[in-house]
Amino acid sequence: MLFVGYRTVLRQADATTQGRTGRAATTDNWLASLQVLDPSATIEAVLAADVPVDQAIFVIGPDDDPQLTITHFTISTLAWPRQVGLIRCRTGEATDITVPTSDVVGAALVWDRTRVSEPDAPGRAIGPHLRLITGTEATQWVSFCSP
Amino acid sequence: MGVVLFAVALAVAAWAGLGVVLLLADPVPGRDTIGRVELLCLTVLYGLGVMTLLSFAVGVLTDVNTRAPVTAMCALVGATGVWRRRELLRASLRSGPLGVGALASAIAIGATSAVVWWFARHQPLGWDGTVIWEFKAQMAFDNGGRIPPEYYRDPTRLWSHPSYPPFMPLTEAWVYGWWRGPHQQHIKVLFPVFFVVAAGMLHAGCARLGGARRWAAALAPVLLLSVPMVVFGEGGASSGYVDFPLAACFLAAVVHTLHHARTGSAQSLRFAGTLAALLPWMKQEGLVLFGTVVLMLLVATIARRPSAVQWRPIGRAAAWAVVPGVVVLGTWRLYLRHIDAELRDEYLPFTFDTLRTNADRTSTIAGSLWDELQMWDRWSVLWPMMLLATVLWVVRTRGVARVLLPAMVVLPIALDSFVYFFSGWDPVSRHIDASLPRLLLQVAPVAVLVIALTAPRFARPVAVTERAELDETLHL
Repeated sequence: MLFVGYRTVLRQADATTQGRTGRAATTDNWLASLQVLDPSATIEAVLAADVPVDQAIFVIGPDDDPQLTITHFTISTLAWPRQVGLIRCRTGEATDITVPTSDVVGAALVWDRTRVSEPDAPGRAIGPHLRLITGTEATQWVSFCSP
Repeated sequence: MGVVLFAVALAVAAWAGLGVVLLLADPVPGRDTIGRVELLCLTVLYGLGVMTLLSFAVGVLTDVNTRAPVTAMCALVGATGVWRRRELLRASLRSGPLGVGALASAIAIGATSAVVWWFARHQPLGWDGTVIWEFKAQMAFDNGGRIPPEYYRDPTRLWSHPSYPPFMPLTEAWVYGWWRGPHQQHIKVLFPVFFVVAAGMLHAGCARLGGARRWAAALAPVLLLSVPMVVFGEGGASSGYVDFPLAACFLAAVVHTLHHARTGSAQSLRFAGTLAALLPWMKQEGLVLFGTVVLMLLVATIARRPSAVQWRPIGRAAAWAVVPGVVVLGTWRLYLRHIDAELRDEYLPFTFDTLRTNADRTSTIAGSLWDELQMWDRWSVLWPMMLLATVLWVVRTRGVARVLLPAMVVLPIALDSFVYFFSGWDPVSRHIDASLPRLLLQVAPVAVLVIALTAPRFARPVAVTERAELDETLHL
């Protein structure tokens, strides 16, 4: 028992590499796909500056990207106390929507790690793959599924 | 500085735990006096339990930052226990010789814990460790030590399981409060503490139950470290999940349940019942472990008096086994209802119709369990060894303990597997894959205890049985 177990433990110790460190070590690891320096702190700062705490936000991203769920959850942990809905997109259409119950959705974070934000795209670029788009009650958030 | 503040945070909670342990223990030092290692382990478990319960209560009943009042209450609880039971504390600290055996145990516990600490230091928090527990801890820290009620009503955060009890978030928030800020990397220093507790309880359990040689009691933590799933990976002692703390608390409850079964010790009954009460406070699945402890305490009490059933001791056992847990769990459930929490039910109705409809899951559940038990990369040869040890235990041991100890491993596994018949996940195999290894982890330290207790010349069943019979005669 000792031999078999310790061999596996030692193998794992060899394979272990130190990831990101710091106050937001784990969430920074999970947001590495954003290719932003200090992604957790950056997102917190952007939301604090542009989205009032009584407004909800959407995370909008490609349904077929396995990283979408973890990106949504991670952004959601950083966006508290704002409610965070999710719009999953496929071929330019929304396939699944989790809608916040707040009266107003004030902004959306549009994420696609396969596409680099163009300079003339709407909203504010946060790194190459994420944009913050502010809006109003009348904004059709699902329209941001279209490239 | 962070290390010092962490030590202070832990010490304040542990001081309250020391008070509770001393107040629950028999007032007069005697044969049952708790040893140093066990005292330390129970102090940490009860300390964090009491501190989180106080934080929760203060957070619900007041608007003030919880840290100062909880610190004052912890100081008061600890001082009360230490003052009222100072003789007992002195006896506990002097119990057992400080010889080679004690040194070997200390080295074993220290060295194995250092390995877990290394993994905790070099790996980030796991999935649940972040999105279920640490996220809530950050919210609690930002909100004066309490998780805001609005969180429980937020339908967009159901994925973070709002209904899960707040033991771990409030523990982390407590540390954050002393640090004056959250830190996802530094908080990992908390989790090896639970490995120290489990390793210490294995040592103490062997000494308490096995009449063990000191070298053999020192071996138990080394066996625990040889289970890879315990050391690293999702749910392991270094991952930031609550499954291993739950396992450590369950182990402590099992040790005292078994000791109560063998000796009828009222002290062990009180410890088993109150430790069991912490299980559903730590995690939803702790309910199964709580139920197991309650059932075994009742079986032990009834089995000790087979000829003339005496209702008074059974009533006392039932009260100590059931009431603390029901109070803790009931309070939490009432709170969720009171604040109108949004709850996501992952399970279908627990009805016979559901069971009949999902009967075809039997092969999936049984097959997954069988496959998991053979995952050597996760479990080494823990389960085959446990099977062998169980046979030895059953052959060597007499009395109700013969059934009790193996049942404390087998029953939770059986109940947890049975619950998959009511899972709302489709396909159910996804639910099994996501949770089964962690459910097994919750009983893994008890499986190690079974193995350690049946090590060569470890258990002395005849002597133990004789002692139990003597106790019976003397009505101890």
